Amino acid sequence: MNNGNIEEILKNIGAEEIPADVHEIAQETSNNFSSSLRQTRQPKRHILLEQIMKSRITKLAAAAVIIITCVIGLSLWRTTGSGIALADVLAQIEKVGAYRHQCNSTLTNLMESNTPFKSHYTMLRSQKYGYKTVSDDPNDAINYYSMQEKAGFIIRPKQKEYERIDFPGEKLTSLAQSQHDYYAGGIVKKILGCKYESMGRSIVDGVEVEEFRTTDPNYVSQKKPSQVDVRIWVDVKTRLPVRTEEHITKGKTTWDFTTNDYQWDIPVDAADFKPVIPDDYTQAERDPFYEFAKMKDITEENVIEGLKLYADLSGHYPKSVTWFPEVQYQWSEFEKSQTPAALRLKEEIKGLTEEEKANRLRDALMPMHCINGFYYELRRQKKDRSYYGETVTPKDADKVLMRWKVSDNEYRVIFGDLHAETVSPEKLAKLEATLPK
Amino acid sequence: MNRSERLEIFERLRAEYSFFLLSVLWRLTGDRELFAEAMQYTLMGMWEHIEKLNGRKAGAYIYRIALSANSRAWRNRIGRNGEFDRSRIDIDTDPGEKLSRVELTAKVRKAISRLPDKQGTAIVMRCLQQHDYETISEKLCCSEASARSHVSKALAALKEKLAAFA
Repeated sequence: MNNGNIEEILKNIGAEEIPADVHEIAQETSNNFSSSLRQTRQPKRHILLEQIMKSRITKLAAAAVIIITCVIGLSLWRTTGSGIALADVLAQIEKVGAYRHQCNSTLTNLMESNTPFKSHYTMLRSQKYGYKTVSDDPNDAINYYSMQEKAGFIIRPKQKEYERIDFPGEKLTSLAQSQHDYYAGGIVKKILGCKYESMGRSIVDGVEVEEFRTTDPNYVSQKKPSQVDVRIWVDVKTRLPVRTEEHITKGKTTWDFTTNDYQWDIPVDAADFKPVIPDDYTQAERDPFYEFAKMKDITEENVIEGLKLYADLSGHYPKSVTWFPEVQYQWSEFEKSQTPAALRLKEEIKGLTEEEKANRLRDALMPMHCINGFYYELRRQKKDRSYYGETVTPKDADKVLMRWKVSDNEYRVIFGDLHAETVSPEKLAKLEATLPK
Repeated sequence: MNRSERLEIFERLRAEYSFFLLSVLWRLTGDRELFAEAMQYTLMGMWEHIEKLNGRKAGAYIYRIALSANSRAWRNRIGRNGEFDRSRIDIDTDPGEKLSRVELTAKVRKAISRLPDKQGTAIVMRCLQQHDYETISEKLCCSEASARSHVSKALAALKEKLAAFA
C-alpha cells in the first residue's frame, strides 16, 4: 500500500456524510452526560472502572459500561401506592458509610464464541477508604481503590503481577464515590429516570420487601436495547436494597446482573482496603491511557522536574523549549548519551518489543512534556519569558536558565542548578548581563 | 474554580464543539457503538480537564482529548483481541472488493487510533478535515515545518501498519 492509497482512504473518510441517527446519538450522549453532571455532586466515572479491572469480572464491567449509561430523572420524589419513595431509598443509601454485597454477572454475546462470561464476586465499598472486589475464582484479579494510597491496584494471582494506577488530586475520591453508589444507588437513580411501578410486597431472604420494576428502554441510554427488565427489592423497614436484578438485551448481547446479600453500614477500617501484594509479584506495565489520566499539571515544579530529567539523560538542558518532538523521536536525542540515567533507561528498554519500548519511553519521558506547554502558556499570557538553555548548563548554578514576569516589579527565575527565585527587574537585568553571549 | 463555573465552561464548550466532536469522532470510528463510547470518553475528559479548557488553547486540548478518547474506545472493544471484527462491517456490504475496501477503511481508522497524539491530530486535521498547515501548526503549537513532518510521519506510520494489505 502506498501513501496515495492511504490518502485516498483518508480523503474518503473525510468526505463521508454523517448519518442522521449518529447526530441523534451524539446529541443524546452529550445531553445525558450533561444531565449527570447537573444531577450529581461528582461526574460519573463508571467508564474508568473497566480500564482498571481486566479480569473476567472487569470485562463484564466493561460490557456494562457500553450497555448501561445513566439516565437520571428529574422527578425524584415520586411515591408508590405502598408509600415508599424510591428517592427516599436513594437518600438512605447515600447515608451509609460502608457496605458489602455479592454480585453475579453473566454476559452472553452470540457473536463471541467464548461467551457467556460468568462471574461471582464480593464488593466491599466505603465512602471513606475506597472499595475492593474479590472474585470467587482465585485466578481472577483482585481490584482495589485505595483512598489512602490515592491509587487503584489490580492484583493478578495467575500472572503473579500487580498494576498500580495513581490518581492525582480528588480523582480517586470522586471515582470511589461514583462506584459506591453505582450498583445500589446508581440503579435506583436510573429507575427514577424511567417509568416504573411498584410490584407490591413480598418476602426476600426473610425480609419484608417492596419490589420496584422498570422495563423502560430509557434505563439504558445511547442505542436503545431491545429488552430491559430491572427490578429492585427494598427492605420496607430500613428502606435499603435487599436485592437487584438487571436483565438487558441489546442486539446479540445479553447482560444479566444480580446483587444480593447486602450488609449495610458495616464497620471497616483502612486495613480492609490496603492492597495485599505478595513479595514475589512483579509490577506490570501501566496502560498508556493513564498517562493522559495522570497528565501532569503545567506548573513550575513540573517544569523543573522535566528540565532535570532532560539534563540527567543528556548532560545538558534542551537548547529550545518551544517544541518537543514525539517521544520516540525525542528518545533519539538521548540514545547516544552515556549519562547514568540514559544508560539505565537504555538497559530498561533492551529486548522490549517496539510497542513496549514506546510505552516505556513515553512513561519515562513524560515529565518533559509540560516544559513546552508551560513556556507556550507564558507567551500566551505575555509574561515576558526567556530561556537560555543554549548556553546555560546544569553547572551554572547562578545563571538564569528560564525566567518570566510575575508582576510589574517581579520576575520568577529558574537557575542553572534548577532552584527558583523571585527577583526584581533590576536584579534580573544584572543576572542576565552575566550570561554567556 | 467552583463547580458552577466549571459547569458553565463545560456547557459553553459542549455547544461550541458539538459539531466538531460529532464530525471528528464519527470519521475516526465509523461505528455507532464506538462513536458513542468515544463521545462519552471525550466529554468525561473535557470535564476532568475543564480548568485547562478555559482559554485559547481549548481547541488544542479538546483535539487531544478526543483523539485519546477515540484510542481508548478502540482499545476497549471487548473480546476483539486486536483483531478486526467482521461483525462491524455493515451487513449490506458486498463481498469481494467492497468488503476489502470497508475492511481497509476500518483498519485505517484503527491505525489512526494508535498513532502518537500529535501525529494523530496532524493527520486528522490535514487529511480528514482538510485544514492547511498554518492552522495545524497553530493547533499543535509548532512550526509549519513540524506540522508537515507530523503528517508525513503519520502517513509513514499508517503505511507501515497497513503494509500487509498491499
